[in-house]
Amino acid sequence: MNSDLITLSVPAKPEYVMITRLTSAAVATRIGFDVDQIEDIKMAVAEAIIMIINQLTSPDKLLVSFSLEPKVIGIRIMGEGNWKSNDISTHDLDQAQLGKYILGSMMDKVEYKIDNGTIQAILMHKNLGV
Amino acid sequence: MVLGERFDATTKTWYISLDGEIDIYNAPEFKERLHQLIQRHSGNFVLDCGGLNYIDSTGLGVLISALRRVKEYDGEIKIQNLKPYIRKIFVITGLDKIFTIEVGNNEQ
Repeated sequence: MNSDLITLSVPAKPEYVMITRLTSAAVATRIGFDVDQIEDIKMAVAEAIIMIINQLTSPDKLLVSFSLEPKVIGIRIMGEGNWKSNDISTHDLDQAQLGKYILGSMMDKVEYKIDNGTIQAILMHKNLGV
Repeated sequence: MVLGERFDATTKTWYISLDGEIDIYNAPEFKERLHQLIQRHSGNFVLDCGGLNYIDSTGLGVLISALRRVKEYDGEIKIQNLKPYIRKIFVITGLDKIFTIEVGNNEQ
C-alpha cells in the first residue's frame, strides 16, 4: 500500500521547533496513536531537530516529512546549511547523547545519516499499538 | 517558561517554581537566570515542576550545567512535583539518578 506523505520545510531556528512538534501531533492523531504515543512522537521530533540544528553552523532550513501508513508513522528530518566539521563541543556531544537516549526510547526504529562526522538526517518509525 | 523564585536565608535554599515549557528556544534564558541566582546566593535549589508541561534535552542540559555549579560548593538540587511524562524523561536519560527527585502531588 502506498503511504501518504506530508512534507514541511521550516527555518532551522529554535523558534520553529514548536511548529514541527505540533504538526507531528496532528499527523500522529490522524493515524490513531493514543495520547501517550503522541507525546512520544512530539518529543522525538523535537529532539531530532535539536540534534540537527546543533550541528549546523549557519542554520538554513529543515525538511521534515511524515509518511502515513495504516499503523505506522515514518518521520524523516533533514538539515540544510553549513555543517560543523570536527569542532563539535563537548556540550553539544552531551546534548546529542541525551537526545539519542530519548529518541531510542520514544520511537521503535531510529536511523542516523552521518556524513563527515555529523548527523545530517534522522529517520524514525513508530508502530501503532506497540 | 515562567520562573518564580524565592530565597530562604535560614536554610540557604532557593525555591524555584517552573511553569510552561523549557525548550531549545527559551533554554538560554533559563540558563542565564539560574546562573544569576547561583551568583546572588550560593545556595541549594528546590525546583517545583508542578506547572512544567515540557522539557527537552536543552532544558535538561541547563539543569545539568546548574547542578555542576551547585556541586562546586557542595550544594544540591532537588526536583519536586514532576508530571509523570516528564519524570519518564528523567528516567530515560538517567537523570533521575543524578538529581534528587522528590515525589509530589503530581505523582500520587
